[in-house]
Amino acid sequence: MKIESKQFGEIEFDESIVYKFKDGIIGFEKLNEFILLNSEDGVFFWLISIEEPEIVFPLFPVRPLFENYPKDKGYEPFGVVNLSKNLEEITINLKSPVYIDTKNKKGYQSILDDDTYLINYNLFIKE
Amino acid sequence: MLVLTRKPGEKIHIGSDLTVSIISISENQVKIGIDAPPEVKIYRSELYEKLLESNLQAVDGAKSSDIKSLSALKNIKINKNADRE
Repeated sequence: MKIESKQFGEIEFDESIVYKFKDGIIGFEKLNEFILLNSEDGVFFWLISIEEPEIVFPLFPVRPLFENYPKDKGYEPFGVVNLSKNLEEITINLKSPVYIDTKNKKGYQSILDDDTYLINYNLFIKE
Repeated sequence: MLVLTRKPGEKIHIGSDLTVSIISISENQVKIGIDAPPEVKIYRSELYEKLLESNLQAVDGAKSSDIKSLSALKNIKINKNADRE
């Protein structure tokens, strides 16, 4: 399969790496197929829509931030990241994590009832 | 918009598998019960709108960011929090 976007250019991939999001992503419920790429520097992941390749969600794994973050068996929680040029302004949405099952290639965006997890948690702090 | 008047204990059917029950009312609050199949997602609107806004911003941010310049992530560390139990 092949997709093309401004940000990533042409990406060619095997159908076996396609993730199915049955319910899409909040606000993007009609997008049900994505690929997950690791960023060049290995910090972020990019969840790229196959149906609309210009739609890309930057993701960051939640586990390194919160060890006891709510689990779902077989799935790894990721937060959607709001990027910014100023690194200290980069935030991660911990209120509605994207759970991804890398083995069975499926995922969904959940909403946690727990109000201790912020929608805009600062991902980085200056050393 | 369809507007119906109901009393506590009364219900509304929406289609064949969605039921909305008025459980109780007080001065400025209504307690509502909803029976729906699991695939029907139910959110408080203000929360859904916030999350939608956040997702839209994230998509915009990804469009405008220079993805390769993020490797400038030096001298900065992940805001690791001790879990609140």
